[in-house]
Amino acid sequence: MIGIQCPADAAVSATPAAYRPRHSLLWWNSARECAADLHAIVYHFFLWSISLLPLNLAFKCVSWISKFKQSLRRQDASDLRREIAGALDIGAQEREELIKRTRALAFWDDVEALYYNRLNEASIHRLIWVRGLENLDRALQVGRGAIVCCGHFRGLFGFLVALNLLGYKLNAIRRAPKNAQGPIARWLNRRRTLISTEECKFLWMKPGNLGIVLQAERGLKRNEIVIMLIDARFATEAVEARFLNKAVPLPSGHVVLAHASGAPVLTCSVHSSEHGLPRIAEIGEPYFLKGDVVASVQNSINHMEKQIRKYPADWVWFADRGLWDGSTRDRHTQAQPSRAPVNLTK
Amino acid sequence: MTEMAVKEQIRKFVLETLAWREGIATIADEDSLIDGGVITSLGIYRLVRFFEETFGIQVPDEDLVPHNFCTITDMERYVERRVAAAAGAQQRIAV
Repeated sequence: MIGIQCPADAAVSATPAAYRPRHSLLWWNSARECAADLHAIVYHFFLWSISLLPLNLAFKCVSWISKFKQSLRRQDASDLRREIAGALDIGAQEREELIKRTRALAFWDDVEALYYNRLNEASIHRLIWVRGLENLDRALQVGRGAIVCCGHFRGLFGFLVALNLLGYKLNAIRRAPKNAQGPIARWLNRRRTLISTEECKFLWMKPGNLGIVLQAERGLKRNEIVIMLIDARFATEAVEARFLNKAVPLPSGHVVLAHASGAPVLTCSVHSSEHGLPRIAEIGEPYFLKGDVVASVQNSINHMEKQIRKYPADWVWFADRGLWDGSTRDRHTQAQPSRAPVNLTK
Repeated sequence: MTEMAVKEQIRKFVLETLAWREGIATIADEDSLIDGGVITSLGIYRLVRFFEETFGIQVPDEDLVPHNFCTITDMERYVERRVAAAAGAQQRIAV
């Protein structure tokens, strides 16, 4: 192959060597963004095509596609496999079935999002049943709002949409999603997952948003519902709790907010029914958090763990969220040694 | 309420309630508390409640921005601004 140096190449060659990798990196990033955009367009068109089918048929279609996809090539699930092995006492065969099911449900989550705008109060039951609404009503009768503690369950967005359609005012605290690579991919992702309305506000946890807890408390004062995800890992003011055979740092924000506002707390979980659809959301009885923060976090997490053990495919495992620390063995729970005080000015 | 009183009250609260988690024993006026991880969203929540109870001011949503809470000096300036605004509003009502 004959190499012809065009003027632009010559300019690049003339620049210091240290600059060259950055220039190539720029091209590499642009190429990756274009590839991500192209992938996003194809994937969204595919999701949209499936969403034209009636709900139950679309769900079956997703199950078939997912099975077919997994029979063609095994997706990289080594982290998930190890995490499940450390958490649940199940055999290898059962574990593989669980991984297949959790992957199919993840795919369905993507399709389901396209149905939200087409459902209303009368038709939402085709997607999700909400049990325990009387508990929520009882909590709201106190007049201090209600803190609904939930985990990262598949179908959580459907649950929020259902509550919204049933007339409840929500404030859902969420971690800001990681940005997709390309601008079109970002736009499509935002469009697909944006269900925020006047009655269902998302309070985004991101570096510049300092007032998020205060906004949640103001929601409680208006007797609204605050949805908090209690299985986020590496949160600020995390406390160590026993969770799925391990000691894990978990957020204590819901406890701090409950103590300060006096609002009742309810736990909630979402799982698939026997045939997949409709999904079932279960809201527990309201209770008031008192006393020790660590004990309160443990109490909330115990309820969630019970649901995860019952319906393990319906929970988004840490490995699927990129939050698994790689350890399957239990770290012995012990108080962290207090650090020596330091001077911030030094 | 002297300038020292406001600043020292804020510093004491930050040290006793927020900074101990990070193992911090002293804070200078211009130390960035947000970059230092001392002030998080839960920290702001506690601070605002402290401001409301101690200085009798209301903190609206639009004031929950980093430049009002970044350092001890920023917070002192903010509290004084709000206290002055509240006093001005009361005077206007009296007139």
